[in-house]
Amino acid sequence: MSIEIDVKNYDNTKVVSIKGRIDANTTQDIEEKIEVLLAEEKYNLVADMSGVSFVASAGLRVFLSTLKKTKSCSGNFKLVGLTEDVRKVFDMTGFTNLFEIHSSIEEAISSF
Amino acid sequence: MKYKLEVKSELKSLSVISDFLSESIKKYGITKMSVPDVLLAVDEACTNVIKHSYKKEEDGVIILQCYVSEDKFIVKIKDWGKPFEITSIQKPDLKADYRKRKIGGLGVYLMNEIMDEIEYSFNKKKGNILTMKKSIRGGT
Repeated sequence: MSIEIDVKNYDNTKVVSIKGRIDANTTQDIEEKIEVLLAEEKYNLVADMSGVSFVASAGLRVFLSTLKKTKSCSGNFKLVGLTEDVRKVFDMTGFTNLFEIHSSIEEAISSF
Repeated sequence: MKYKLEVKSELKSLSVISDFLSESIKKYGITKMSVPDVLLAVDEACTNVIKHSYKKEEDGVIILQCYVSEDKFIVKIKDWGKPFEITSIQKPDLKADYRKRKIGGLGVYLMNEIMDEIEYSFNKKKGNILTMKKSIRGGT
């Protein structure tokens, strides 16, 4: 099963829309996309998770790593559209407290 | 009725395993157990087998078996890789600030949080067997 990743530009913010399943197999694609953005010094990132049905700890690792890297460059990595199942994983692991989670992409973009 | 799946020890097998489990659970007609939780726990276990027991060598074999017994959904995961002692993994600090949160260690934590029982055995001939059980009556 593949993952679809789409990056859109909004002023000084990049929105990374992810569709599919985030597991140890598919995180590599997400990591590669994010590494490209960080190399371009894009540190205001939003992940649109509304198309994500499953997140394993491998995905959480990439999210935490991205949060650390963006924040160390005075940016941030925010999340939008967590489904109920994904939200539960975030709650179980304490990740809900680590990230700003917004109810819409517009809200996330304007929060930067 | 027991359902069995044999896959290669490659990360691409994770989605195949997930589909197999979903279908098996559907065939049993289990409705009160949290299926997404169980799929996650098994995904974490199999990821550990692929990454740590087989060190991502793709010619290894993983055999999954699932069945219902005494109101429990049981998943057995068998491999012949290097034994991976899950009890040696430290529980992550869930309240730590993002700067202090460690990148790894969440997979085993999630397995323990989700499943009601986890047993691990190692036998050179029979292989490593991880048995995970979850009540089908729901509740958590």
